[in-house]
Amino acid sequence: MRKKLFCLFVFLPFLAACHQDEDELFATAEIVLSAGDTLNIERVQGTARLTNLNSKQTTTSSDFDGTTLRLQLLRSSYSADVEGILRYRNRRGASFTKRIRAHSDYLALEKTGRNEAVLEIVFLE
Amino acid sequence: MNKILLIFSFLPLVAHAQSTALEEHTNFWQEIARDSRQNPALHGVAFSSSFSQLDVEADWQRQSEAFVLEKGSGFLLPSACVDSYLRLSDQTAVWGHASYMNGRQHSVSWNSTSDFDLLKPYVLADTLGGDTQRERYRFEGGYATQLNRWLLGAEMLFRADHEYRDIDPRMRGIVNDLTLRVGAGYEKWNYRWAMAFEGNIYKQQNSVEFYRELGVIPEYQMTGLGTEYARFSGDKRSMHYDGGGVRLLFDVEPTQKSGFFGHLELGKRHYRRLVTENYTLPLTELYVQGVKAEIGVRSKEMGSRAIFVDFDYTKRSGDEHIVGTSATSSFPDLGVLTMYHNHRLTTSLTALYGKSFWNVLVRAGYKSDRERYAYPERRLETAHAFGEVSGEAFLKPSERWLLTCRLKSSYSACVSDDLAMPFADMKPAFVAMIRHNYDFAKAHYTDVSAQVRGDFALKNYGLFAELGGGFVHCSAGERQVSARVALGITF
Repeated sequence: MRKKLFCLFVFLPFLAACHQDEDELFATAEIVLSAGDTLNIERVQGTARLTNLNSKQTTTSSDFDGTTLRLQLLRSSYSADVEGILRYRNRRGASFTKRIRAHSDYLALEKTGRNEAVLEIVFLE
Repeated sequence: MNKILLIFSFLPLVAHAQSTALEEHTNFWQEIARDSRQNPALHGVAFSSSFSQLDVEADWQRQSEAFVLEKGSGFLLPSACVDSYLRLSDQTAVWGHASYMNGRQHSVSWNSTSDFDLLKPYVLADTLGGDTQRERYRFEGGYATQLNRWLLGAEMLFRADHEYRDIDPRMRGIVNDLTLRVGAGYEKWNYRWAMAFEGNIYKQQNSVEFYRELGVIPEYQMTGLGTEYARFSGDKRSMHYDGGGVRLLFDVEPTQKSGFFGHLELGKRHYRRLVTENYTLPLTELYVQGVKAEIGVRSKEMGSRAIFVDFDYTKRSGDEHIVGTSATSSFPDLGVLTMYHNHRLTTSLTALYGKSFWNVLVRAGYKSDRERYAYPERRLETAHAFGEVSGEAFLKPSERWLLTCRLKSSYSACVSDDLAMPFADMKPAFVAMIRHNYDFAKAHYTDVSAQVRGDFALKNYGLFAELGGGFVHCSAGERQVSARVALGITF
């Protein structure tokens, strides 16, 4: 019994305190473009450029699904730039195509799993 | 092996069987007990004689091309040391060490931080580098006593290092390193069963300054295998390292001349790198965890013999902090990612054979070093097989003279290597650094060294002079020469 207690006191605290590697490196980022409730956005064709603020590495993607871009990223904080063309309908059903831009200095995409960030659209025309 | 034994058997003017304190404290047999002596309780019974030495010494080394850029191409390190081991009684011993070193390290590049081996890869670095001046103070002291069957001991080790460069880039590293050990042992069944605990506290203030405004170059916050923490690289040149760790040591050794011996140690250390401007913001954390084991058998009857195997595994994991952004200077810490992995393994089989005046050591082993950076993936791996033959002889030309001669030769052959890097995305300077270090990491090494020490005994003390030299040939086409000279007194 005494030997067991000895092992318990000596080894277990030591082993329990071993460092656990954080190997879950990637997160799913959902970048959502928003233009308010008045516009019905049909399609976005553009390129998003996300820059990791810590490593300065950049990731680009054009794979928009509606107004949402999903991509796998290294968990970190990012800045984001989106440029492209947007087609939308207004309340009366008229269709328009306009050049747009969206930008954010800071997006926290550090959580494991899903991270959502909303970017406000700026119309260039 | 037979040839070596033959050479030693013809050595003239040999002193028989008279073991001096010097022999006891310095011969190859200490190699067996090196790990167990870290337990202060066992250090107290490691020697039956007192031995003290005061000397001035100088170590010089020059590589034709730096084998590891971060460590430089050589050094000249003169120092003054005093070592003492005193047996106060059959039960009690005290020991101590004090030294001051002041020298120069040559052509250090890609590293502006002291203690590279300890903190690698999380150092400040620049492409220029240069010579650095080094100053080091060490103070160590220990006490051990035996109470019936119990052995008790404690020791303290302190190191203060100051490394700096007096031309741009003016790096400065100020290190304080304190270690405390307590140990206990118990004698039973003709063996000593011992255990020790070690605690360590480590701190380093590290900075780089430029006096010529036009000559400012970026200082990179290195994160392993040619990567950098780009956000805080460039103008963040003042860092603080904060760390320490613990170790548990278990030993068993025979109380008699013969028997099995074993050593097991479990250790872990943790070092944080903080930006001094944002003192609470850690950039990286290094976790070092290791296990070391040794088991063997020794006999000191009818000549001395020992054979043992050892195993040393160290895992180094590096966490990078995810830093957010803020309008103030206080950055939020969002989490960590373990990006750097390093696995080191060394295992060897050692045999020792000796008579009263000579000893021979033969060792063969394998070591591997695997480094990996998680994303974008980078990998550098090497594995070496190595062999070593060493010999020592204690010669006594007259009553007052004792000559100690040592020869060592070893060969390390690379048996496998691998390098994977996203070279197309790397800056040219980083590519050159990685290729350089890889070329030397995967090379074969031949190492030959010799050392002669002459001791002249006077009435109450002795004088000694020591001269040593070594040569290393590297298959990458480079070489290293080294020399050592020491003068002092023993008492």
